[in-house]
Amino acid sequence: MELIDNLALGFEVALSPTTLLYCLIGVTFGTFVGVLPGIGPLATIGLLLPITFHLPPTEAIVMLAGIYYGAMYGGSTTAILLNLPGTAASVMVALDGHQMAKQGRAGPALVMTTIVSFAAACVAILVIAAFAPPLAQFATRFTSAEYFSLMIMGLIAASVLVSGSLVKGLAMTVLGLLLGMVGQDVTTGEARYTFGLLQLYDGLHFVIVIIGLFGLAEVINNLAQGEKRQQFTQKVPWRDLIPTRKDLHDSFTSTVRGTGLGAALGILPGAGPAISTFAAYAVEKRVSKDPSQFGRGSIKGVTAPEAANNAAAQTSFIPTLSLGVPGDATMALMLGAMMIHGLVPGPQIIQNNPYFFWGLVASFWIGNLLLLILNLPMVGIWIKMLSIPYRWMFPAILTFIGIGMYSLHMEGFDVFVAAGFGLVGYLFIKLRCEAAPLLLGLILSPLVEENLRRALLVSRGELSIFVERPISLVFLILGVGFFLAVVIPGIVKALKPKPADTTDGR
Amino acid sequence: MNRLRIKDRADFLSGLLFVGLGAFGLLEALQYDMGNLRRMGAGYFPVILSMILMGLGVITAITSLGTGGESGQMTAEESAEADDMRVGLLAAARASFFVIGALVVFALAMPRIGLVLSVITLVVISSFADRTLSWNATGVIAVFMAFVAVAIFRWGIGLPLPVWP
Repeated sequence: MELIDNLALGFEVALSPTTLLYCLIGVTFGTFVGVLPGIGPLATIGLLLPITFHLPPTEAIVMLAGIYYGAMYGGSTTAILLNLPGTAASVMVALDGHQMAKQGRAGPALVMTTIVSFAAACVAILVIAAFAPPLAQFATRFTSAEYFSLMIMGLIAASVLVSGSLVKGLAMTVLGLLLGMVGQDVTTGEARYTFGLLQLYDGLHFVIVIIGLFGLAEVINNLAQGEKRQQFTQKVPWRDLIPTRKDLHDSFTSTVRGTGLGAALGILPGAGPAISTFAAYAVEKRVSKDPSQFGRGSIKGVTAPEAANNAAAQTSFIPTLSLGVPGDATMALMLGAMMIHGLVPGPQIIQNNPYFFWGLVASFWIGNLLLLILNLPMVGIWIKMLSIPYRWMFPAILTFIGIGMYSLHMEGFDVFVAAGFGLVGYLFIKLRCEAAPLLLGLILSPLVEENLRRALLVSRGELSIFVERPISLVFLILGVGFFLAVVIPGIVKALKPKPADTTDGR
Repeated sequence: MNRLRIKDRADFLSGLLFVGLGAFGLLEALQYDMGNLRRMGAGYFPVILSMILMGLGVITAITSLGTGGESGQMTAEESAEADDMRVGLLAAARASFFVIGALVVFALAMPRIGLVLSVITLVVISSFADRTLSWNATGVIAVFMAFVAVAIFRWGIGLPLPVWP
């Protein structure tokens, strides 16, 4: 069967010593970074991206992917132990996970997340192997109009699924698209927004923007707030790590549901791990015989989102790889990384670079296996690491940022730009503007414009082409659908008459 | 008496920011060749985006306003939490200044005094951003990071960064 052949090829690549090594490095480092609050997977990948430039493409992407799901796992660890979700995807895990930790059941929570993540990964690999090739086939029928609508749908989905105001999310996306216009317009040759600076001719390098907006801004924010992080001081003896049989039994259905939901949602461009965790938690609560247990330390409330999280993290590679349309900011980053290495994601990548594609897919499984093997014994060490004071870490972070940025073009300009975006990013944090949609807009901007142009060229200026072509129309409708699905409940709530002001007996 | 008030300061300022950025983008983009729908010039897409951005900014600012004598009383705990989260302007300025400053100096120093000294400088300057960091710790971290930097970037990856002046 073709599926088996493909996977066999993939494992051959993924099990080669160098690839395996980089996978291991990625996964370990990812967990390490994910555990440490103050720097998330997005910023980490951005930080290490310059280093990976000097690695061969497959190894580089394997390592970055390892960092990605490793950091997801690490983020869950922090969420459970410190109630400090490192990413949006860990928020749900923190809800019941931290309650479990407070009840002295941190061990089982941590162990179950590890096991559940691995199980989800196994399923997700099969989903990828089964769905990516047909999806790529389907996408070969796409023209510029379809791609444009697809990207618009993805951008809308990504910007509405943010915390805070929906309108602000959209505005950030548009701002990102605008920022992507900086540099020389390839089609007309005209220089846009360069203000005479030669270094801006190639545009704003997305790595610099990420480091600034996510990495630096976070550092400044942490320092400005002072050492307000709690330390986790409970000891977790070995015995207590083991989940009970009841835990395993309870988790089974929730894991299955979470995995299914995550795998399905991850495939949609624009929907990523974060959304999947919210959905999984909500579904779990809905179908439960005892909804009141959620929020008070239910293991189902931990395993469902975690399974969804990891499944979605893996399957969100499908649209990124097969269609070239990333599902969220982190995928956008992976997309950028691949392009830098000369790998062009899209329908033809499976045909043109089969070793890369299947090697990567196989490495997901191996990486998750490594996570399982590493983290069960290492839980104690990760817990110890949480007590490293931030004031020791941030100089290291800054050093990596400084050197990383400088090494992009061997000049200081990039450092200045990163610093500037650091300030801007801090401003965004204070103004509660989400930076992730901006990043997505930035990375997709040239593609969006190019596809728009081409589609209009073909249609001789008729805008109707986007709704005349059926696939394109479907994408646009879905995009509008996402938007309405989020906007309408908000409007309904706002229009409801407010209850009369009564003074509570507080 | 119902007065128009800013209910959400962050949103209001964000809206202003978007309008401002959009206006800037628009003014710049209008200088580029627009072309028409069939053959979009360099300016077409930026102009559209800028206008959308400005529109969204206006909406954001407007939705942050509100009327009505809404009781802005928070409970005692909410108020305390808000105090905790509120970061003094001084703390924010201090953190920003030293972090950004450290990086700027680093970028200027690198080609002149090499990796080791630049890293040490970076660590020392940035250490001022955290008042609780002792000189001893700073020193150790500075030397350690200088070593790590050379080890990873020079020996490990082989980047052509000057190590010494």
